[in-house]
Amino acid sequence: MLIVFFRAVILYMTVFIVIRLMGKRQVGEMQPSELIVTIMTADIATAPLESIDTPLLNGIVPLFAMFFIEAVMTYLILKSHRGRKLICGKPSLIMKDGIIQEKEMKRMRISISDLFESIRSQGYPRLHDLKYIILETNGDMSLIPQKDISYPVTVIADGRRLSKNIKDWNISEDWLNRELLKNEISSDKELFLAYVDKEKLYFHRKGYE
Amino acid sequence: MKNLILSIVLVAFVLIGSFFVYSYIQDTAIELSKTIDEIQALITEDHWEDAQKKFTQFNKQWEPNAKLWMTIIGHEEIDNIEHSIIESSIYIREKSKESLVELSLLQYYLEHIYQKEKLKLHNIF
Repeated sequence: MLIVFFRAVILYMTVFIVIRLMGKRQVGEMQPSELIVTIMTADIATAPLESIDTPLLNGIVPLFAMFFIEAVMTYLILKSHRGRKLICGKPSLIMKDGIIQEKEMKRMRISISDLFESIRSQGYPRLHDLKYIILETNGDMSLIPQKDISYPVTVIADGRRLSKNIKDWNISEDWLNRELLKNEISSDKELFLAYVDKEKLYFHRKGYE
Repeated sequence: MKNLILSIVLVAFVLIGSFFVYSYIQDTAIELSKTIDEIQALITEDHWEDAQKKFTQFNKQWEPNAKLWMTIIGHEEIDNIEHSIIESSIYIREKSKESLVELSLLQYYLEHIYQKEKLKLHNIF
């Protein structure tokens, strides 16, 4: 039983790494971890079903293993920023300020025809109508048109400051600290989420429902 | 969070359960193997009737275990053992020394089961 359990864990991790390496194109509207559970559970369940010589436990134990890993993954996605980045990846900017990010497109293996297909299907036949194109972690493409000029940048998530976003979007830390103090927030830990949009800070406090 | 707790409970159940199952399999396999040793000693000394009695005792020991083992171990392994038991019983009845070979094979099958379930790297990969 233990052997079956560990085999399932190893196989899950292997499939997970492969799918993460394949990138967002392969995922299609599911998080990588969800996709693996979908692929593997069906297959695991059919093994003892196909052969009456296999004890039912050989199918049930790996299913428990799947359930366990999925629960741990979900916990990490919700509770840790680093975990979320590692498990889901992070959204990629395909177009920033109206400029196509060629390198990012190549890295994500998105062709020009893929890009046009995606924007057309969302009702934007002209590329120059768009200001931002974001390839989300589940493989979806989000479009922000020119008329909505701003792109909200998350600066604090789950009480942690996202220094990379702050640096990438040229947000001044001094300005952010002043804004926080103005709103009587002494520590980042008090916030569940904070983002900057059109040079204005928007935030949600922790445990404030 | 509820899912995480439930999954931890299930995994703990599997881990603890498999520990008990493994030691149960090991204990019964060693016990059965010992009986086979005794039968082989009797056969070597040509005590065929005693060997037959001991073999009947072995069968009685095996039958209740077989049903439980089937829920945990691949049925193919159990079939091998059953097959070997039938052959051994005929060899012993016919007072043939071939029974020694078949009994050794039976012993191997029994030991193979708990060796296969041992938590070792070569078993996982």
